[in-house]
Amino acid sequence: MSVSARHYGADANELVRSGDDLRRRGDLVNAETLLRQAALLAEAGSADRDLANALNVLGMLCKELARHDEASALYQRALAVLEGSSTRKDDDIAALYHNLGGIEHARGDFAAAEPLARRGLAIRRSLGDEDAVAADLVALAAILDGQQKFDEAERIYHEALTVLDRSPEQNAGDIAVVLNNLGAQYVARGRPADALLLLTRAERLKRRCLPERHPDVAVTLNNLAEAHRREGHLAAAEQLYRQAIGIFETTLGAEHPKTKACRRNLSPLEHSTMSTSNESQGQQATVRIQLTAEQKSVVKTAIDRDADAIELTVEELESRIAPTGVTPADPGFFRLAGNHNETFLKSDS
Amino acid sequence: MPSDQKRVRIELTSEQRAIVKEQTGIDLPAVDLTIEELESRVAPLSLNFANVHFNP
Repeated sequence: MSVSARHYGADANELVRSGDDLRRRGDLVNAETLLRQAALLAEAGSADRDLANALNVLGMLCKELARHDEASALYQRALAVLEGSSTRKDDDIAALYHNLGGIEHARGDFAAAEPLARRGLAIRRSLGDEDAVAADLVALAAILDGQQKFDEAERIYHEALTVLDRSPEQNAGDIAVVLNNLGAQYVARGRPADALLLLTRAERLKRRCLPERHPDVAVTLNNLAEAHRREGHLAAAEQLYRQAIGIFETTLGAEHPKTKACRRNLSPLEHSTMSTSNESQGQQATVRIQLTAEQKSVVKTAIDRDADAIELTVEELESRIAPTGVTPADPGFFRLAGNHNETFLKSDS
Repeated sequence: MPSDQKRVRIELTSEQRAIVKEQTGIDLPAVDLTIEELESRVAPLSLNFANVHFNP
């Protein structure tokens, strides 16, 4: 390796460290500037791992900015660089499979994400790093959540927590992610009271580990708002959504999918919290249907929006059930072809 | 609502049907919405996802 190439590599690594530090603190704009410079320098250097590292961290930033195609291309290039390198390390390869799975998760293509995550996990298990295995397990569980394999995901979250709890200070960030994801799962499964406990802990941990206005804090605030909303705590939900939107707007921008999603989540509350009594709030209990990748594609095609779920109020479900085998003629309503059986939801679904 | 408005039908999986049934008692094979209804009922909820990166 030439002297100049070594310098390029050293400078690139320094820039990656600085850029990644900014990224972790939520300063994504300045992080991107540094990481792009790092990638250019690493390209000029001759160390495969330096280049793969720069591409990988830039990929993580692109993912946070919802530039999924670019992030995927960066990870794949990093993987190709390492797979053809004599200095490859298996834990790097595992990290890239983990991150490639993460892109498919972010896109909502959970079926594509699962084999990538499992491949990374299998490599990681062979290396014996239990904390890293736990982080991969959490990622896999989130992908299973997306496919509504809730029982398996829940078991895996608990398996990961058992490992992470052995070093709670060191793993506080990962523990917060597990609590956030498990809490979100409980919301999706209609267990908002359980969700509130976990999401409150997740928020507390994230506030301890992350800057006050970090987008990951806002993610949990959004989920916490959703749990409150499902419990009928509409004022608390609205306040949390507004906090989350404020953070998303300043860190990710007004047009980022998370900002827009959070604003849409808030929208119905802006109307319903104006003068609703507790009794009428109870009538607004909703059923949340998490969408599969195929269903998301249907929604995307129809309305050009990314959606994780659709929500229908219990009242709507009640009043619009069509008798089995009969196609309702009134196109003014959405049709629920099925039988209404016995029990009705008590409070919040 | 105009009768010729485009509609979207979403067939529910068995897992989704079970969730709806558990929460409401209603057995629901599919939902059928107008575009306008779908617009007002999509509710994204972001999950977190941990990235792992190298330790150079």
